Amino acid sequence: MKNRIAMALGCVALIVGMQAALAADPAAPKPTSKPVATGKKSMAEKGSYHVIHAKKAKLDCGDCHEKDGLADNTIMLRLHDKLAKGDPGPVDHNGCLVCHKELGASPVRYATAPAPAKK
Amino acid sequence: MAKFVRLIDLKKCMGCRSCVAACAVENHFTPDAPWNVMNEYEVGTYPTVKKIFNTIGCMHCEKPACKAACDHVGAKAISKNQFGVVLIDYDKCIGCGYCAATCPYGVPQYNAELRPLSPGKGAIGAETLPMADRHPTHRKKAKVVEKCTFCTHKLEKAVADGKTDRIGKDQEYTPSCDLVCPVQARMFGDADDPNSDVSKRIKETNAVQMLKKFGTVPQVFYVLEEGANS
Repeated sequence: MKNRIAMALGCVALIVGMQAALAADPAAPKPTSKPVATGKKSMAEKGSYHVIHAKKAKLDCGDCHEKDGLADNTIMLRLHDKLAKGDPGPVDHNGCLVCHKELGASPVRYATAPAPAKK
Repeated sequence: MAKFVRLIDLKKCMGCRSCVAACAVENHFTPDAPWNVMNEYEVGTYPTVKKIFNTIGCMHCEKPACKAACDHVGAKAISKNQFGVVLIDYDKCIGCGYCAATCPYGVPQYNAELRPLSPGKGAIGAETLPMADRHPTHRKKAKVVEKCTFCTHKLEKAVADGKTDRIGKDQEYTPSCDLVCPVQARMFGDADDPNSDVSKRIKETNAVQMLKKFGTVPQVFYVLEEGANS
């Protein structure tokens, strides 16, 4: 009985020791704060487009990008392109209308509907 | 003044991609930067399913979002000419990609590198011409954006020949994609002329512009198949 208890305690000590050793491993990958390459078409690392939307406006990736792709009947030129590894997905332009249709803080990209005729 | 528009009848289109091939040869777009793409999808529930083919190129919007974006960054590389054709000046384009990101139809294509249309098989079509002899829209450059031009080189030829009335009718004055459709699903002509074939057919078929909610007023009209998204 004593031998079994000693063996169990020894195993626990071994597991705890291994975890501590792994946690302190200097070769283990560390999180990075630098931009991560997400595919050849991404403008994340070079354009101000993402600086404006992701950093200044603080939009989440999912606010613009559809990770699972767009619906089959979406009107878009390269709808069925395969996504590169790590690509956050195509942008659903319907979301752009939230800020870019009406005059406001954001530049108007899409023409506003004509004002109703005065009676 | 003429305003040229295109009509695409999705009820007739069978997805053969002749229009895509014709555009590729006429305008030698590279695989990474297509000017015309055929999308396809299924609608309905088994056993009554159907395939929809939807060819998409530049809509040549009356209020182009791409131009607004380009002007905003100061490049001013995108213009809209007297015939309503939206064009990109490769010498002014800075390759920022704002137009591509802004276009609701995802039309402008960033051409990262100049690649032959048919790799390993030598130059074909307009690729065989010296750069100086080409129309400006065919003087391709790497790291700029390009897109469909309504075959503006043909429209300009019609103007130069005094044959604008033959646009949409004669081979040399009509966009190549509209010429080759084997089922006559495509039509090109002057929408300002109520008696033109394209004007009549838009009216007869109740053709619509895609994604009207963006307010860009496209100059390409579609006869929609059941289940298609406008």
